[in-house]
Amino acid sequence: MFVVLCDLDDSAALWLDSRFRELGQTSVLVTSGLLSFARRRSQWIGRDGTRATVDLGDAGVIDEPALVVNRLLSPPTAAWQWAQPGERDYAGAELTAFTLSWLAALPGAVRNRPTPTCLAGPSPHPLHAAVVAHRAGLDVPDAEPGVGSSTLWLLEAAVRSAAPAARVDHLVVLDGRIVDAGGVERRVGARMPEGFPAGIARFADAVGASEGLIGIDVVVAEGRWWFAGMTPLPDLMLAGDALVQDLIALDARVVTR
Amino acid sequence: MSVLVWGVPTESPVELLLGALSRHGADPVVLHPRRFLEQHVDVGLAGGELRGSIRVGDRTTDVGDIGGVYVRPIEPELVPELRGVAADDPAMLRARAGFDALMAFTEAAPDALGCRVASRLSAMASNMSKPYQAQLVQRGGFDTPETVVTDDPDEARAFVDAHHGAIYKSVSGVRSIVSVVDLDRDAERLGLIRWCPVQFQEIVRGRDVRVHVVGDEVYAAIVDSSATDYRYARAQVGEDATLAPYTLPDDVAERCVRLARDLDLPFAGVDLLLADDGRVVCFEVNPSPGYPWYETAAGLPISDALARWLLRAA
Repeated sequence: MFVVLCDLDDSAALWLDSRFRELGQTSVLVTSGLLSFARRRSQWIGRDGTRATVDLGDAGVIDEPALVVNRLLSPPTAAWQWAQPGERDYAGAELTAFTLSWLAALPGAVRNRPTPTCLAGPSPHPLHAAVVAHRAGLDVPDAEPGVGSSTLWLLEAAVRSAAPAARVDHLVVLDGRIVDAGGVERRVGARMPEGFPAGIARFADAVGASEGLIGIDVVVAEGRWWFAGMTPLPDLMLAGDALVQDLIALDARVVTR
Repeated sequence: MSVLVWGVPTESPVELLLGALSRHGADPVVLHPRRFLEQHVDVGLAGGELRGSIRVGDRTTDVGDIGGVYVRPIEPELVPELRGVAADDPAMLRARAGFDALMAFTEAAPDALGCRVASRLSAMASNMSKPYQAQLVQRGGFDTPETVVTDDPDEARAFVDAHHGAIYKSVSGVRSIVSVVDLDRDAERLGLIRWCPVQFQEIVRGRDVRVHVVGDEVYAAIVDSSATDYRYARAQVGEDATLAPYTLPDDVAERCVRLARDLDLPFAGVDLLLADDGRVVCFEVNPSPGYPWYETAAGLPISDALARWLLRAA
């Protein structure tokens, strides 16, 4: 069984789930709301390892999914929306903690495993990500971070420092590899510099996404591809069926291991 | 090289560290969360490298000259002067900008500048989920108590029966008092877990040991108390727990250092239990340990070790 886990307004996740079904896969779309009203949630941790079961009633039971595409940003707290603020905050912390632990230990292929700072996966501070990108050999613009953790300051700086004909694009990167790299080059109208894919792979590894599905913003100008930010919630539809096939292949890799 | 201390100087862990730094002849830059109007943090990227400066009053420090940072801040919303202040109030915006810039600096500085940071806020977050951290602790070579996190009362009852008793506590990092489950007393309340999973753990008997890891050094205290949660011993059993210094076996000390390193926590409080059945059980790793009680009651020179680590004398 494939599971696509997401917040309610995630149209990319809805698209992915429908493509899985159209291609004959058994796929379940699990929103944060559905998870909040689960019939049963249990996780066991001990000498025999870790296992868990989440019973969603009519939607099925998640215990050993073949593939999980996790795009969950917010904890499953819909059942607490009318509670007193103090109780709601406490429940939010508890349910975030449970979800983090559950997704971290799920068997099978999970893209992405959550991190303590983001349920949806690797999410380093943008300044840290930029430093890591530079260390990985990618071009990074001069920039000053704004207030908050938005990555837009880096994107804005990259656009500002690039030539007027600069193109902004978004790479979908699965397990360190740019999905449909040829399609990206056609879209942008420029070839990737030699070593750029390897730099992306080094970056993905350094931010804990060597087994992860991330999006990387780039600004392309005069033959240079500037790193302009990353997200654990890539624009899946941009990568299209090439990504869908790559994700289905992950299940086969797990089975044949 | 300068040392940065980001925290409230009168809070005991910060106060002890400042004293230790002073004894080593250091003059740290103190970023007091309540004095945000006197501070300006300016960091950015130039040529892919981290550049900038931090100004406190009339003292300006280039970020390249900062060798170590102790991180124990409070969020702007919790600063007394800003309690109840609107998010778009200029004072709140100023405090938030300073906090965010310092967070950006401390997240990037170890990789960018080789700066020692105890610890990055992102690394401290592993403690926000006890069962998640337990998985990391197991990978670090320690036993963890048999645990179930569940919203199913029948599952909880079966677990308690199977282990001849259990304790319960929060799943998240929200502080809770560890308590023993009483299936008769708690029969009705057990139904409430339907709303939110609760963590149940086997009762492991033995002696509690608190290990403070500072870089590659360990400072351990053994606890004498019959309370379920020794931090609340007076409330639970009528008398305070007592502490004494304890020498860890070498292999346990090495595992503690390795675990803290794997968690990216150069300063950590590891809660162990030397179980009567011979196991060394790890309950959790505190990412920003409140160490003064262990320092004063067990005579452990933790603040000195932390000061030396930040000054690169350790």
